[in-house]
Amino acid sequence: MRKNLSLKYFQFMSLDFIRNIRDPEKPATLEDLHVVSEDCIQIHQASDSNAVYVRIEFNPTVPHCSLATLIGLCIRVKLFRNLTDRYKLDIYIKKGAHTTEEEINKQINDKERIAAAMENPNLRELSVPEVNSIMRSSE
Amino acid sequence: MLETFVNLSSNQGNMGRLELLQTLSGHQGRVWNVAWNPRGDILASCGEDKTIRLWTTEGTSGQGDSIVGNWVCRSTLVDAHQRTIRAVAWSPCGNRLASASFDATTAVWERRIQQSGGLIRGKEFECVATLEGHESEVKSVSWARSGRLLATCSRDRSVWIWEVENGEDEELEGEFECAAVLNSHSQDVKRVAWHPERDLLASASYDDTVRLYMEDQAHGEWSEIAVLSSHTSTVWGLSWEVQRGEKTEVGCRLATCGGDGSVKIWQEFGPNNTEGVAPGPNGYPTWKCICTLSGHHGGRPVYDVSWCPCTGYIATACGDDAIRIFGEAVGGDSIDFGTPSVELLATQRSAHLQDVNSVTWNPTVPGLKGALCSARMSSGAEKGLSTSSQEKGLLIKDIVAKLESWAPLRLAGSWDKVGLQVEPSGSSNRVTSVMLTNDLTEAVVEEAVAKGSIGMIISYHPPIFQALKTLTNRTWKERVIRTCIENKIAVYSPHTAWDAVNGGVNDWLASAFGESLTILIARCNCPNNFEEKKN
Repeated sequence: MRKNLSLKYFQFMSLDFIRNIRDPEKPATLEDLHVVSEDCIQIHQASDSNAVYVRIEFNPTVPHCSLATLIGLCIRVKLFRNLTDRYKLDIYIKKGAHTTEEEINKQINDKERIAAAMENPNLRELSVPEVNSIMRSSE
Repeated sequence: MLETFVNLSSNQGNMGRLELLQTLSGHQGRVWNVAWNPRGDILASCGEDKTIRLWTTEGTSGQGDSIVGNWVCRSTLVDAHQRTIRAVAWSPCGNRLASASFDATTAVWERRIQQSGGLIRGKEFECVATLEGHESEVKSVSWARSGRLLATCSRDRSVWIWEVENGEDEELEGEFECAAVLNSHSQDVKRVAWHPERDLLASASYDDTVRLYMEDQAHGEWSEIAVLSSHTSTVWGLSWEVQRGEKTEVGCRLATCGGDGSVKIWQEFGPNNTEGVAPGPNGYPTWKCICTLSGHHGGRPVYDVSWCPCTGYIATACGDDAIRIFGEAVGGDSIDFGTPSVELLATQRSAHLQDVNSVTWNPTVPGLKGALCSARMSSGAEKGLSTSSQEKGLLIKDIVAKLESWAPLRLAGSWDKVGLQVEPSGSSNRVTSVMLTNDLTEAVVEEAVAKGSIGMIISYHPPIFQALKTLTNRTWKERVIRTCIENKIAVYSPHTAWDAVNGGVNDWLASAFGESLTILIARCNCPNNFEEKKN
């Protein structure tokens, strides 16, 4: 039975996986740049099922950062590949940290868009505009 | 390892409950959509593994008692798409199937007679056409009642209407022609659905709206005739009500569901409606939201909605892993026009803690649904992403090694039969779920099989103790072992090894006496101590 102790563990594990993601532009990790931190991850368990809900709020480095979508996707991919337990993940930009945060939040949590993006075998090599074009409605 | 399931649920009789009938495994990775054929005897499913599976009950070909039969995968349709197949739809005649894919194409399949050497081998589905034109992932496809019109929609924001020339009795030879490209939505279009009777098309979008289209008879052009705006997030699903009984005076109704966690019911008001609702431009009907069901879905997106043509119940598929049934509270045979009082009748959590992506009522058997759950990709699908991907689960030999590092088999009594008793073939099979039991009875092994993901059972008492001379139907013990083998479930039995180990069963029993000193009465040192068999 999951109790608070293992939720805490889940939280540490999640942070461990995402803190070392390299920022797409700068030679530093997301943790170095304060994009993610320990209190940006919240975990809770549904009362009526065993589902674990993970909520991550990240802080993009600049307010109009076009990398926000890519960072959101990287966080999701990293957790997906490393966390073996079942969980539901919502990723949001910290409120007030981005000019188009609602738009980006909607994109990076759209299950279909995420699935289509992750199908791309070259996800790691895609440029920022390419990732953005996969995650947005086509022009 | 397969983790995706199509669940068949029945809501027969007791309308307050959903019963899981069977779990169908076979797909690899996420299953996105399920669809019943018009006769209700074949269920099609499609998903991330780029295949379409057709499921029927084995043995019989027909309906009626089919829900109690055993559902098996009758055929798998492959090689038509390069990427995830997002949706499938049957033509009204049931001989054609369309599939919509992330590879930006829509494939059309037709049941054709297979011949070899002049002998007819039966009928199978073949891919007979590939419709191209969308610029990005195709999300949904729908056939109109006439069988001559097909609609598709895509992340490129457009809805396409295709016309097929050949009637349903002829084999498809002619091409599909594009009859219209509709660019009404400002964002990704998630779903299209034709009205069950009329050539009226609905589309649902990431732009939070639903739009309706009809063909202007005078000019032969398709255009948007209404915008349904009320959802506060992406509209994921649409389902038209099939009007039962004489209701031709009243406009039709549409159920929609969305990322805002709500389900809405919309009512058509024709130009001569008696409610005083003003008609739309050009005398087209208007549409109003007459009912919103919110607060039932745990704040998670509702990915699909299905309005049962037989019973009028509405089923939803939700990102909180549950299927829900809504209907009218008391009496009546349909949701009340005008002020529907719709309430939640039943909730069923999916057995495997996964989002439910699609739910659909069987069109002929009341109460039978095919719902399904998405699943995580198996590690095989991760090739190309990175070399640090991890396989999930453990090999049987590793599990056994771990168990025996804690409780070596030599601790067991010399007369005992312990250790790995059933080992399925396939040394690379990974186990992600282990079931524990004191005694491996038929009920226990049935439960393991029903769960679908159990790779090993650890049974305290050894199922094989007296030597088995046959593995037939005759005794329950043989049946149990046979079922395990057939379902690739390993069986391990620790028995007296776990009794004797430090901190094991004997110590636990002794602890009932409270603080006490445990003194060994006898230490097993005899030469015919149980020896691990090494192969």
